[in-house]
Order: sequence, then structure tokens, then C-alpha cells
Amino acid sequence: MSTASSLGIALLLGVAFGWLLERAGLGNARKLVGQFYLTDLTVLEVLFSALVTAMLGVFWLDRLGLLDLRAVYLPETFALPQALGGALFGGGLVLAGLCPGTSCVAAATGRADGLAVIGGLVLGILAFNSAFDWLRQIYASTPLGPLTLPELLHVPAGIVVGTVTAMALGVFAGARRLRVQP
Amino acid sequence: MTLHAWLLAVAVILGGGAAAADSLLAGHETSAVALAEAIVNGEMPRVFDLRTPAEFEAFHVPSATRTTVRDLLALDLPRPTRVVLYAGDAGEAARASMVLRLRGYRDVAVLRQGLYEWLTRVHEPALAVDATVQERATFERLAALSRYFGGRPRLDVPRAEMPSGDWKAGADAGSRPSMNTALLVAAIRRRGC
Repeated sequence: MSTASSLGIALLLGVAFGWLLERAGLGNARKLVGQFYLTDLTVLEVLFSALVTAMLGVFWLDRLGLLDLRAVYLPETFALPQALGGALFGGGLVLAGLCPGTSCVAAATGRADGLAVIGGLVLGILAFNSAFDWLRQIYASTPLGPLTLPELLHVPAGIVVGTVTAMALGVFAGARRLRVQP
Repeated sequence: MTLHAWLLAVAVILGGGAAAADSLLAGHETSAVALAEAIVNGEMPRVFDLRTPAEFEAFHVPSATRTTVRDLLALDLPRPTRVVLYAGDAGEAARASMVLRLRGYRDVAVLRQGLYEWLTRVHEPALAVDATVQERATFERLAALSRYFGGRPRLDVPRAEMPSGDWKAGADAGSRPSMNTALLVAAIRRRGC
């Protein structure tokens, strides 16, 4: 596939992703922050359902011979820097009420807070790049390679897929109950 | 039926189906040593290699035939035939196994850890320099198999360099076959086997 085709598909998927985030209400900072106070579990429901949909799709497309999983890039795990990055990301999300994807959605719908978060995001990228030489050692520390749950747990992929699906359905049922309660 | 009910049904079918499909496969793995002994004993299992032609050319299990999942759709063997499969990744072997089972083959097994276990347990079994009596006894059995298949048992291997895999209790992910098999085959070819 040519680079132009790949970029075209990426653009289409990006637009679809943004549209779906907006339709799910995730351009609203109050909704996102509600996740942390457990008053609104929309983020968990939307992202967990996206994860489960992708997982089931990839699993069955692979099993039916329609997708070559070896051609799918698996990001490597670096335990310490990713834990630190996750904590920083979570802190930023609570402070701003938006994450990178939803800030673009918010900005596209004309919200000033979305634009402000994008500005902060760009500044953060610049700061990270400026300090990269200083951060390099942490950035490349604790490499664990490309990890998957079936390899880590020594269980077949289908068992992991079934278990995560069951977990998701349990979480959705819990979230629904929370929403129904006053 | 509401949209939510439909989505719930689809998730249950696909998620439950995934667990059921791989649960059926989980009990149908064979170790490299068991496969080697079956070949030596004249049990004539049909062995299929699902890797690329270049990988097959570089090294394959003796008596193996290279094939693809698509070719297996047209495979015509007596249904009781014992079939052993291995591939470059566990997913492809599982897919091939599922295809054969759906086509009525009942005695289908996937080679545990693929070619990696064959290379490290049968082709080039290793004996640690500080091996215990039990390890030496196991090695003698494996070395006999190795020589039968034209392999090269390795003696006095430092403990830190001993291969690890699912044949050992408590094995970790450090021996992932997909990462090591190509390197092992390259090393074997350099040594002239």
C-alpha cells in the first residue's frame, strides 16, 4: 500500500474517531472529569467498548485468515517510563479535563478549553524534546519488549479475549446500575 | 430486541467463541520430544510447516511438508490421520488447527512453541556444565533422538546459556520462540548442519 493510501486511510479513521468521540459526548471536559469522581462513567464505557470491539475484531480476523497479525506493529513495553508517563498523563487529564484526542474534538466544536489544552500539549512536546538528552536514560529504561497478555500469563489468546470480554460486560452492567441510581 | 441487547449477544458469542475455540486447542499441543519419538517409533504423523518457503528452506522438522492455511482447506487425508502443525506464530497454527478440526480431522495437534522447541530439545539438546544426575539422564535420551535426526547435542553448556521454554515448570517469557527461532536456525546453519 502506498504512503498516500495509508495517509488517506489514517485521515478517514482519524475523522471517524473524532466524530465518534464527539457523539459520545467526550468533547465535554465535565464528562471526562466525572470519570475520576465516579459520577459519570461514559469514558470507561466508550473506551472499554472500543477496546473490546478492536480485540474481538483482531482475534477473529486473524483466526479467519483475513488479517496477518505478524504485520501488525506491537509497541514495546518500557515499564518505568510508561508508568511515569501514565501518571503524568492522568494528572494532566484531571487538571485539563481533556486528553489529546478529546481536546481536538473540543476545539473542533469551538470550545476555548479545547484550544487551551492543545496549546499546552504543544508546549509539553517542545519541553519534552528540549529535555530529551536529560530524560534519555529514563526513557529507555526497564525495556520488556513487545508484551502480550497471552505470553505473560501463558494462556491461549482466546481465553484472554473471552475473559476481557466478560470483564467488559461486567463493567458495563455496573456502570448502567450506577447511572440508574439517583 | 433493542440495539443494546443485540450488541450484548454479539459480544457474548464472539467472546465466548474465542475462549471456547482456544480451550479446545489448549489440550491439543504436542511437545517436540513427543513428536520426535512418534516419528522414530514409525507412527507416521503428518507434519505440516506453515512458515514461509524461505524459513522452511532454512530448516524444518524432518518429514514436514510446507503448506498454507488455504492449502489445508483442500487437504484430503483419511480423517483418523494424526496431524501435527507448526507455524511462525501461535495464531496461525491455531487457525490451521481450527480449519482441520472443522473439516473433520480429530487428531490434530500444534507443536508446542513451534520450531523453537524442536531446535532446542531435539536438534540441539544441551547439557549444562553443572548438570544434575537427572538432567544427564534426560540429556542421554534427547541426545539419542538428536543423533537419529542428524542433530548435534551440545555438552558443557554454561548454565546461563541453557535454553528455557515451556517444557520447564515456571518458565518465563524469555524464551519466546518467535524471537529466538530465526537466530537459532542461523546459528545451526553457520555450524554446518
